[in-house]
Amino acid sequence: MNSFSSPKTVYFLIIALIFGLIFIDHLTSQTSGIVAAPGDASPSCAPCGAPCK
Amino acid sequence: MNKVPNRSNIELFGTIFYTGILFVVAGLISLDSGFSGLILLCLGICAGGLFLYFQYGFASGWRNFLENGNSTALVAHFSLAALCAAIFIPAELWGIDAKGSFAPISISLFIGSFIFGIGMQLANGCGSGVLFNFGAGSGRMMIALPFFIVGSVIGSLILPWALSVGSYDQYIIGKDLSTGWRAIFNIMLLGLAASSFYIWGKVRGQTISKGLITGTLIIALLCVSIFILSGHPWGITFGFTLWGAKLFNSLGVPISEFTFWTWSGPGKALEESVLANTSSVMNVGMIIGAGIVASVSGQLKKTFWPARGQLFAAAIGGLIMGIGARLAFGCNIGAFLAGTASGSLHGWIWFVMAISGSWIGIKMRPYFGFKNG
Repeated sequence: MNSFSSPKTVYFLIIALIFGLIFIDHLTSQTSGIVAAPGDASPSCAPCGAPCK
Repeated sequence: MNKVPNRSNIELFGTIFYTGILFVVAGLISLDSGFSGLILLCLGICAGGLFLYFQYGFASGWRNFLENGNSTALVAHFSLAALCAAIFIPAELWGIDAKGSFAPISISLFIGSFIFGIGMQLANGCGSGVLFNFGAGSGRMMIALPFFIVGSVIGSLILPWALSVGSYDQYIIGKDLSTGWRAIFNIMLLGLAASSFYIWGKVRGQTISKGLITGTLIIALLCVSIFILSGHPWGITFGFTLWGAKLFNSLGVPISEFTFWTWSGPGKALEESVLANTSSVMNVGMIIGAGIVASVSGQLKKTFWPARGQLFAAAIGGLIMGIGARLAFGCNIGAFLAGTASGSLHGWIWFVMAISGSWIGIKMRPYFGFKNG
């Protein structure tokens, strides 16, 4: 049996935590029905949606 | 009668665990964004599995060049960019409704890519490397990834100020040429870089493995598929920034009031689900893909904690990679590969600065217990 600090145990706990948070966020956030990137919005100068200056 | 090796527990658990997650994530995405979202998730899964299978990393390849003069990884990386450029730049001529990746030429680009280079050597992986190795159960990346996420949020808070210090417009290489000639010119530049590194290696007796060639061709196909289906080149680190910002937001930090998150693109991403952002969906897919491959292949069983010094290096490396990625508009995939393949000067600057930073990072590694060479 793995101990609590075993990397495998920590790994599965982190993955479960990440996906748990993703599910909660998805269920509590609005969505436009389109998967988009911030750079798609205008006016942006960079992929992250930043302006040039 | 031979006893069946006891390799079932962790592999079986991992496979069931990830299959369950996959079904739930795929269900949520298909309900909201339908087929296009599902395809992006599938491409992310493929990316995670392929990067893990081919061990297609940037950090170790660049280190191998700087330490031992082995240029094979750099030949592959510039060849990959040239293959992508053949589709990215003349997209309209191919009838593809997508645009390349461009970014301002700013002081933040120089500083961010330089510190990213340091960070990727300390953490032993770049943006994609941290993600797929994390998915595969790497103890090092279990430390590096959370720090990468925190660093990228810090970077998002610094970026507006950094842009105000000094920034110019995007610079498109060959902008005065027609689209076709611009594509040819940029492919020639990338080909020249790949050829130079190839000749460098050839005179030193280096050969490029079939695995590296196959990996490069398949990953090029993957990058082109992402470009066509998402409408822009693949990026990884904005997904991390978004995850971190959402987390801080939920803890009561007024993230949405900071300048970066008032810009329309990031602001919209912050309001919407993490499964409504391309980078975030692809990252989720990469973790699942790498996790499934690691479970099936038995790699999860080999998970271990590196020495304490190396874990400390992973934390520092992750943090400065996160800050650097935001300041420099992406990582090896989103800035170097996407930028050079789109014919944007920022991709080339990113490469020069990040490989310079890598040299500093390599010099720092022994202080954290790494053995170079």
